[in-house]
Amino acid sequence: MKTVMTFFPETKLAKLAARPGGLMRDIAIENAMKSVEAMRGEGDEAIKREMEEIDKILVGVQNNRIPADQMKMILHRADLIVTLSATFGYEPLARCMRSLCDVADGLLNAGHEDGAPIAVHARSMRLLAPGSVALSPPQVEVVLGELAKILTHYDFRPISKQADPIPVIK
Amino acid sequence: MGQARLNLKGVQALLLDSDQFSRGLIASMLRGFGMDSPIIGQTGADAMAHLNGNSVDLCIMEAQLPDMSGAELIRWLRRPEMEKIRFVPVVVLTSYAQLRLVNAARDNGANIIVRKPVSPQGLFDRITWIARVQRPFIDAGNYSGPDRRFQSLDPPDGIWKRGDDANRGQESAPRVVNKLVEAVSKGSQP
Repeated sequence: MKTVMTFFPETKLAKLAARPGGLMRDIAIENAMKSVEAMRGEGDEAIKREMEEIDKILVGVQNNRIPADQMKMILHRADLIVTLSATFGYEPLARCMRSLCDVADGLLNAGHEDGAPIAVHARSMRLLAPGSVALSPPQVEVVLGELAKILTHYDFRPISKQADPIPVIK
Repeated sequence: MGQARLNLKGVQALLLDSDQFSRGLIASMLRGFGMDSPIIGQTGADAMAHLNGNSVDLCIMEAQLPDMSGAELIRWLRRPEMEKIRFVPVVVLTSYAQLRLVNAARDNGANIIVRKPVSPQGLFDRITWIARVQRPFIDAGNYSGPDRRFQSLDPPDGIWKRGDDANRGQESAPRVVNKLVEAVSKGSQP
């Protein structure tokens, strides 16, 4: 029978962090927020690049079928856009891309290669991209509502509903 | 009530993320917290190559790296052969499509899991928590890593056993932990 051992290691992080000096929480966060905000331009460019990568895949699609390896790439790119758009506060785009992740993930798991639902998401993505014509909140809800119907049509569960719970500490 | 003050100068972090922009974003947050520029890697192999001869004070990694899962890398890191470095705190970042990997990361020894997008507040508070709340490190053969029991969402024995306990002023373990974290992050005694 394997013995269970318990250690109480004092990590170097704990030792260093406990030294006198350093930054107050508010100042540290403010510094970091300024750094993030300074990257907004680069972030917008990164979103644009990822969208172009998705478009490139869709341009090459034949017979409206997307093979699994390309579907995985779309899922990967869409996932990156979710993170980027949510970081910089483009919430409608983040919701659109979460929906694309859900559909691409569902299609992959079901072994389907349907290109149409992906293409619809790609068009919506363009509508909601930073710098595009601003849609009113009701218009945004209409677009996102239509995308939600795709998931319902396929009877796919959103990734967030299948996800492992993240332990909450705060 | 004082605020948490954290001295992260000289803390060497290893940051692993396959996306260049995400790496830059997290690195700039860490620098904003007063930390030195992190060592950057993209893959599990990068991390292994670095950790085989060098030490780091904090490891921040994606739940899925291009060549292996974060869980696999953490399991490798937590082996007894890794000696002191096996205790290094590990923060796992999970994107939307990686949410199914949370349990695997936790069950292989991650200290904490943070969902992307990571906010400066969220990251700072979690680093504060890791630095200030000492968790036992368990080595049980099939599991090596920080004690996971604080994460249990079920009430422990004797707490909230009765239907009306919630009204009797008893608190669940997670709520007690949350209060502790809140107190620590605000710099007060819990």
